[in-house]
Amino acid sequence: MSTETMTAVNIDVTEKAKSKLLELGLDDERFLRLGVRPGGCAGMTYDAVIDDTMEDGDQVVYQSDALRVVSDQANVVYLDGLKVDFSDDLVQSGFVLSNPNVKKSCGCGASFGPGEGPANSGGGCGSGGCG
Amino acid sequence: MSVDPVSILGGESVYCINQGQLSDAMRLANEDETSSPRIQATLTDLEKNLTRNERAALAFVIIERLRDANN
Repeated sequence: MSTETMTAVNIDVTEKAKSKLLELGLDDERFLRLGVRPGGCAGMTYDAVIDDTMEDGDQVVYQSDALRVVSDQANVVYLDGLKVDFSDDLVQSGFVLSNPNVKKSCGCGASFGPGEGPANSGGGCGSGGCG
Repeated sequence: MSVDPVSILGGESVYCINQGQLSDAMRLANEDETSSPRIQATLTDLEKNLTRNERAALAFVIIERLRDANN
């Protein structure tokens, strides 16, 4: 277990996303863990899971009421400027993570990298052959 | 009690379309002498009668069925 510390990272969670996250059971124990992992055509894709176990090096990067967002130290650098939204639109449904600070994305917007252009993510590119 | 981390992002993306496929589709829909009028007429009808999400659902179902069909 680690000691929780609040890290100064600019993350925006829209009211709609916040409401949906709380519906999924986030509370004082369960939190949203954000990170990135290799994947997609542009090199990296966001990862967002509900978790209840703080690990060594974990940092609280956002807190509002019962909604707590946590990330490990290696991934925090990718989260500054991140916007978490929720869309009912089937074309881009569910939680949508976008960050104007990252500079490259694949054609379907599912992954990003440190190149040029905005990016957003609703998951990683799969076997469908993105990009 | 500890829970296994649960993803909220809906799983991996499928059926991404590349630029060449999209370019061919646009040409068929907008410029082809035979296909363009039929596609445009169908589009007009769909956009008149179906909601945005219904059109998206139809598109996904068509793509899914096309992958399993030969013609």
